[in-house]
Amino acid sequence: MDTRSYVCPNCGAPMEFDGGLQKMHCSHCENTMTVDEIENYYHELDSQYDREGTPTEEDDVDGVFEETAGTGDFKVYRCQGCGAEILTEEHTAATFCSFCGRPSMMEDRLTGQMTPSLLIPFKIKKEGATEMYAAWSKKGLLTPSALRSQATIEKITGIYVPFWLYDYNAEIQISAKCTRSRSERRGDYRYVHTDHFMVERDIETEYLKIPVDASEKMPDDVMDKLEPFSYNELTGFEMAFLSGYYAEKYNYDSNQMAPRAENRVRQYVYQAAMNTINGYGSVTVVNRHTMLGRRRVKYALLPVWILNYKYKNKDYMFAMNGQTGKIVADRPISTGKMAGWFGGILLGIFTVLQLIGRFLV
Amino acid sequence: MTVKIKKFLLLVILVICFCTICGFDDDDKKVYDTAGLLSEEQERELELECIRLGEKYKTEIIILTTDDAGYMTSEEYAERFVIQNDIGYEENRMDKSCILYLIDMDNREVYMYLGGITQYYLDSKWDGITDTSVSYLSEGDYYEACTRFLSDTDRYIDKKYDQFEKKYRSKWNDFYGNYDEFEKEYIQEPFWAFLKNPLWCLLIAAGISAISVSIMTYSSKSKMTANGNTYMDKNAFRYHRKSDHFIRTTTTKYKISSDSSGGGSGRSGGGSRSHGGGGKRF
Repeated sequence: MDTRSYVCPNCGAPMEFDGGLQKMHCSHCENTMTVDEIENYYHELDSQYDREGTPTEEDDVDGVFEETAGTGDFKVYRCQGCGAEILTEEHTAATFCSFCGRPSMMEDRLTGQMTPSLLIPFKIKKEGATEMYAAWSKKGLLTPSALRSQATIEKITGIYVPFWLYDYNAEIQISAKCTRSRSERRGDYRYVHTDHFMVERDIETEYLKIPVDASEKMPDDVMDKLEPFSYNELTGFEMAFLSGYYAEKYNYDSNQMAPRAENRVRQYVYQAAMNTINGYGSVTVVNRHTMLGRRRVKYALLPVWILNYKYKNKDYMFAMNGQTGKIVADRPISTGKMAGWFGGILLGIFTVLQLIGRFLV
Repeated sequence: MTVKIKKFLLLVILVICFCTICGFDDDDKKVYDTAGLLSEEQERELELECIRLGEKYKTEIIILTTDDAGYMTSEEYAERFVIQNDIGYEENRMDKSCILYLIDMDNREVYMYLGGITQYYLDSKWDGITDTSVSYLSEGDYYEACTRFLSDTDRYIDKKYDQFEKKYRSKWNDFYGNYDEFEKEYIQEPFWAFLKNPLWCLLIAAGISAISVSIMTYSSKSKMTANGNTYMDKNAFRYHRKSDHFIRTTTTKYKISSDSSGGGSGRSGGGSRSHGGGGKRF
């Protein structure tokens, strides 16, 4: 089926969402429009030309292609601009035509039940991201120098990662035995007085919009570390935001990811309760009962800049929060540099100590 | 007849005088066996050896036995003996060089008193020597204990005698204080002396660089920055129950043990003289 693309009403070139301007931008004629404006423009067009996702004969032919194309992971779409076939994975929701480069969105993966409710638009542009990556790769005492090569920087991609945002109500009851001690000395004896307390806490609170990444491809621990996103800029979903970026729809539904969210809520509410127990030398929890209630789940797309690279045949992922710029990446460690530092410090300290030993003693 | 009696009396007086001079001359006596643990023959042997070693090492070595130390500890008894009898090599100073080996049957303890520079020779050795003595004394081999003491002492002083003469003798002769003070000033090495050994320097340097590199490695990893407070709705936080209920107080009593040591080195005992050595029970 045809993909959806957003073209400039002025000149017909593809428009992309610009993170710096926070608007749609045409690089050919410098025209800018807000997301609302362009969506309205397209809604009018749609109603004029009755462009809906109903299957046509061509689609059936595409369907045949789909079967012979091989694995069920790949669905064949056609670029709206040049008509070329766009191969995508099962969950890709936005991509670029490999022939003409036009930003293309897979509408049927973003409509109906799978429409995201919320989205945080990209704030950091590609130039910004590459700059920050370049700066990051230069830092670090143990980073190998080969990392700074320019060739990989261009491959940095902006992708909207699907997240489930959970609202939870949590209540925890804790019973703990606590002690407080003081000691005094009388003559040849030391007396240690220990006051024993029974402490009870029952607190209830709410946790809002805990993000859990719903994509199988994105490693969960990396996505976790990208937090926090600033929800002030969370806005209603419009497909136009995706233009110029990759996007995925969710792999796992909200029920499948709920246990991850619940683990976090349990930990948080336990911590919150423990924080209310103060002034004791020792605290021993003897009883603990947690009750969680899921209040709401929202499907959101959050912006992330990703660069996958290899160093010495090991895969590394550089990820950056597309809104706040927080970098989550493990730097590869050059064993050469590590050995160099170790040897250097060893020699230096050894010499200093020997000099002290010989001359100052 | 009166002339013969006079001559005879004169002879007797002369003999008595001679005996007095010989018998009461205690300055050279080294072995005082008041507890009667040694035979005359053994006493003589030990006496000779004490004199020989004393001359060899410019010190005075005394062997003393007793079976009544009165109210005193072996240490006090030994010290008293040394002071009262002015034991020590001819030197113009307070702590003269001497070694007194005491077998105290009353306290059942063997005590080795080290005066003056003998502390330099035997400070780290008296412990081993008295240990060996105990094994003999508990069997009742008093003579063997003494000979063993003398041979060990000979051996150990031999190792350090020349060293002291070369390095410290001149300084010691000019020094006014006692051996303790001398040791602190001239002999003891400060704490960081071990740094002279390159092996120690290497180990410490390796340790420091290992820690530094670990810190560098750790800091290259990324960390989680969101926690419960990031997502908690603070307005929604409320207590259903909050109680801190006092149950009871328990008290534990500890006795602070006062320092009880069994023999050390280098103290001034009983307000008199600083000395070294120590004792062991048998």
